[in-house]
Amino acid sequence: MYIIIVGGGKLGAQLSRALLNAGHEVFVIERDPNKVQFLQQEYGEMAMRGDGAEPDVLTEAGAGRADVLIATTGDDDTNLVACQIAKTLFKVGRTIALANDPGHEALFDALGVDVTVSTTQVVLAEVQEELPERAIVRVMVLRSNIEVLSVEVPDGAQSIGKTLGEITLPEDTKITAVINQDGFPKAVSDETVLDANDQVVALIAADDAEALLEALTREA
Amino acid sequence: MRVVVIGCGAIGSQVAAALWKDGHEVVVLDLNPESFCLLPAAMREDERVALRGDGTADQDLLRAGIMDADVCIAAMSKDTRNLLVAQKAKHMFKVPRAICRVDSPVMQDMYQQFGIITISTTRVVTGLFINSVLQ
Repeated sequence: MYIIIVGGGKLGAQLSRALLNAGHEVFVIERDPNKVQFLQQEYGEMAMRGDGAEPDVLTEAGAGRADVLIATTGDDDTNLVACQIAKTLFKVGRTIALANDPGHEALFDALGVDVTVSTTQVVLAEVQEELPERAIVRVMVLRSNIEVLSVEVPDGAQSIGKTLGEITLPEDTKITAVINQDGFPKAVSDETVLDANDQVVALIAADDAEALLEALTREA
Repeated sequence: MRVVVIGCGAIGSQVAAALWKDGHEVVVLDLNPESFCLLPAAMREDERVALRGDGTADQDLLRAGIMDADVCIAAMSKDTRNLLVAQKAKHMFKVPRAICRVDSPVMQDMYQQFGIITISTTRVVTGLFINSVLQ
């Protein structure tokens, strides 16, 4: 996919690396010439200097053929407007914005940004990850009340040795990935057998998170 | 009418002063209190009228009475800040009329479609120049 990233700071640079490694075409728009130079030295001619909330700059960056635009600057106004321009003028299929102010999350959703990631949400997820007794991590909040959650199967859980089909999950839960303790994904079906320390990633209604946690982590 | 003007620069201060003289209830919000020197003395000395605050921050907008405003005018110097605030006023605070100053004519056309009354200073001034040339 062709992905434009607005903002080449720490977050933008990390994202670029991850997306390039995953085989995507990436282009970064960044205001600071030093950061542009750094990105070019690291990854080649994949960054330009400019304001990503300006239509001309987005045209130059090839927004007309972009599949995704991710706005990661420290300015919420730039992030919002870059996504709105991408969507409206360039028909970019998917826009993702960072909301530095958590109060802007709902506003961005209402104003047409496809996915809004708030920094507090990310920090919260990291904190939750650091807390051993809490085996559930909110990976992403999609529209309405649908979330992507990740649950680790603890030692001694009832679910170990069972297949996904045998475990009673909340209705409409979609298990999207099961990653074993070595970090490799298992093929997901009703026949997938859970082992201790598997990471189960699920698409689920927010209200059902506790029930999912209970189903996967209840002690035998 | 109750009008909240955000940004007390050349445009914001003039618009606020004109509406205030016409008898409207006006609040002007600006981060930098020195910008209030552009307002008439009677306005800048009234703490209910000239309010120091960040127009993109919810608590400052609330302090300015955005919930009861009939009109919100975003007249800061940066296009994107104005667009964020105007959309916030319209969608979060349900202000009936949100008016936004932008430079870019392209942005004007685009945000007009989103229900924000958008005025491109570049387009207005360019038009005036062209008219004078052709006169």
